[in-house]
This record gives sequence, structure tokens and C-alpha cells, in this order.
Amino acid sequence: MNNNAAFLQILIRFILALSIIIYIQLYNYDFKTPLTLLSIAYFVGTLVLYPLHNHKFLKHLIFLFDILLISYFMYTTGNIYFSLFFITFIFFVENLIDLVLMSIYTISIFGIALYLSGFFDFTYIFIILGFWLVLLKYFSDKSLFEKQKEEINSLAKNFYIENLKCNDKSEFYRKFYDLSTAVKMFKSDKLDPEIFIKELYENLNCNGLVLFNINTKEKLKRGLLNFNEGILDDFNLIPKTYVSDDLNLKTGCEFIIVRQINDYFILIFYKSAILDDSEILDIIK
Amino acid sequence: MKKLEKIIQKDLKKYSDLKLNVVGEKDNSCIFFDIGYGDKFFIYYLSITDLDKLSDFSTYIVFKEILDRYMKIGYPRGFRTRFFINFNNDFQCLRKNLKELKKDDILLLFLLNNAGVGNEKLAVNNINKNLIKRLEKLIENNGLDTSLILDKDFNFEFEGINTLWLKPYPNEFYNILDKKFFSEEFKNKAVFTINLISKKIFE
Repeated sequence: MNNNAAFLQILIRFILALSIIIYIQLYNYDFKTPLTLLSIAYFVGTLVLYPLHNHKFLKHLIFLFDILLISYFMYTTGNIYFSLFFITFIFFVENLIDLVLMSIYTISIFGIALYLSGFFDFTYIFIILGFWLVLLKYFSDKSLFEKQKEEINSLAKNFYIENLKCNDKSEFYRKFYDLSTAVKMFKSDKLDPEIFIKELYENLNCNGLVLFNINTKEKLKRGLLNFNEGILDDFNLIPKTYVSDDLNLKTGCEFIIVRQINDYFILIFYKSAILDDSEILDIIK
Repeated sequence: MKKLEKIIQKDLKKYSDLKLNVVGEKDNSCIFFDIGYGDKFFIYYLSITDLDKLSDFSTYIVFKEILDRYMKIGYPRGFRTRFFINFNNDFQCLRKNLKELKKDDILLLFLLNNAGVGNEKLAVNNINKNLIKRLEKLIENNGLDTSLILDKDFNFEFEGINTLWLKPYPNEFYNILDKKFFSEEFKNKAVFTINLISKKIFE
């Protein structure tokens, strides 16, 4: 039970004790002071028992305390309408055990009240019936609401799963499309080499990239490559995949894929393995 | 923070054989425990801050499932498996713990975070070449529904330690969703993948 519910219960008991005191004071009963003191003691007692609200089983016993006091005052004052206060506790029902215990409690307290009225207070009977109908409506609405909530949640969950499945594919096609447009534009000299290499590096799973101009010997480098680009001048590069070659030894990368577009060599470096890129690599030529 | 720790300790008490070690100060504490015997270590790391969030919740469920399998069916032999649970997002506790071990004794550090949120890939950057080849073979031979990706902005600062982690790629929603979006399907996939990798990678 959360703190809010416990506080509300305390508030209800305070109003109950207050109304009993006012009732006794207004109607001038014989034992005015002791009865007033008893209801004050009841309220103080609920404050003392406050820690029990968090207990698993003992929280049900607090209501027994209420039933005893309410039935005693119904007996002494003859006013059976005090028992209506007890109905408000039904709204704190959370599970089936609560509901069963609460119905036993309410039936017993209404039974006492009806017995005290000699089964002849018809107003009281109709008020109780009205309350029961409202409660039934409340609980049926609550269960319906929860069912709807669950349905919406499961729908959202399914959409999430579906979305992830589509996302995976669409991400691959996005890469594919981005790279193919970049390559096309670079072929027709519409794209700056620097932007082209950036695009490649973002979309490939490689460790590094070098763009090598054949005519001007100018080199653009991207990624974590710990060698000097100057050593590339010593090699006769041809478009192929380099594995266990001199170039691999010098650069420290196990796989090097070389492609040529116009005047440029594109060197793609993989340190350990070609991760998930083999389908996309075919576009660059 | 302390409440979370209590929940997890209570869950772990189910297995009476486990010897929990609690390290750290008041608000920066972590739990670790070992399963199996051997000089070498295979370390699972997970950090949990809020069990209502999807990523933390699914990580925790996957962790519990893996632990359950280890205890009931059998744990990988030949090395020790260390589970390391952290309650905040910095790696201080783990770094301190790793310093006490020899670097060569740590076979693999597996970050379990984000397991089971969907589309998680195995991210690598500073991992042994041999291990990568084995991982690729494992994925190919067993038809696992995942793949290796290279994480270019790697910043875990464990130098010289083989680190493998999970990246939900290209899933950006896992950060904002809560645990209602947890799905059994993804959990089973993640558990299968991680269990298989942990048992077969050092065979």
C-alpha cells in the first residue's frame, strides 16, 4: 500500500471520529465526556497503528478496529448511519484477498446496523443498495479500463518490434543509396573528394580510408591509421584486394581493398576482418 | 540506489552457492561473484540504474536468465566466469577490480548492457584478431541473428583488454521506452547468442 492510501484512510478515520463527537455533543447524551474521550482515543489509536499499513497481513486487521468502534457507537447512540463511513474503505481494495476480507467486513457491519434498526429502516436499506450498485459499476469500469490499457500497450509493443525489423533493413538500404549516389556524383566530378571520403567513412565499417590522387600524388586520410601516407608512393597500386602482401605488412592492416574511380585510388583498410560490408563494397568501382 | 541493490541481492540469494563480494563506498558500490574454477577470467559486466527503463530491465532479465542456465545446466569450463554488477554508469569500480588481475588473465570483457532491446549487434574495436575470426565463424555456422560492427567512437578506456559490447543499431528508441516494451522474442535471441558465444568462443 502506498503512502497516499494510508494517509487517506487516516483522514477518513479523522472525519469519522469528528462526526461522532459532534453528534454526541449536539444531542446531549448521558455519558458525553467518556464517549467523546473514546472517539479521541480511537483517532489517536489509528495514528499509533499507522506503521501496520505497510504490513502484508496486519493491514487487514486495522479494519476490525473500525468495525468494533462503529458498531459500539451505533449501539450507544442508536444512529446506524455511522456504518456508511465504512463503505469508503472499499475503494482501497487492490487484490482479491482484500476484496474477500472487505466484503466479509461490510456484510457484518451492515448486518449489525440492520439488526439494530429492527430490520425496519427502509431508507438505510436503499442507501446501501445504491452504494453497492455504484461500487459494482466502479470495479467493472476499472477492470475494463485496465484491459484497454493492456491492449494499447501490447499494440504499441508490437509496433515497436515491427518498427525495429523494418529499421534494420531500411538502414542497410540507406547506406546503399547514400554510397551509390556519392559514387555516382564523384564519378561525374560533382562531389568534392573531402566530402566523398567523409561519406565513405561514415557508411563503411572500416578502420580507415585513403583517397590517393594518381596525377598529383595528393592523399586524403581518414580514421585511425598509424602509418605515414608517404609510403604509398613506393607501391604500384592496382585495383584488387590485398591480403598478406608487402602493403599489409607496412600498414599493419590485414585486408586492404583498392578501387579506382577516375584519377583516384580508394584504399579501404580493415585491421582484422571485413565486418558486414561485403555487399556494399561492390558499389565502389 | 540502495533499494535496487537490495532487490538484486535478494534475487541472487536464490543460488546458495554464490559468494557475493560487495566492493566500494556508500554511494558507489558494486557486486561481483565468480562461477567455475581457473586462472583466467571471462567477465560479464552490467550496469543498472533504473529497472523501469527498457534497456536496464531487459539487461537484468537477460543476466538472470544466463545465470540461471549456468547454475542449472552448466557453466563453461576451463576458465572462471565473473559477473560484475554496477549501480551507476561509470567504470571506476570495474577499473579498480581489473587492476587487481593480470592483463593476460582476462580473456574477454563482455558488456551486457542493452541486451534484449532488439537489433543489438556485437560491437568491437580493440579486440584480438583471432577472437574476431572465431566470432565471425560462430555467427556464420550457427546462423545467429546478429553481426559484428566496428564502433568508431570507442571510449571505454580499457587498454589491452579484449572488449565486446552490444550496440542496438539502428535502434534509437530504447533510451526513452520503459519496461512495458520488453519483448520475450528479443530476450530469447539475446540469451541464445550470449550463451553460445560464452561457451564456444574459447573452445
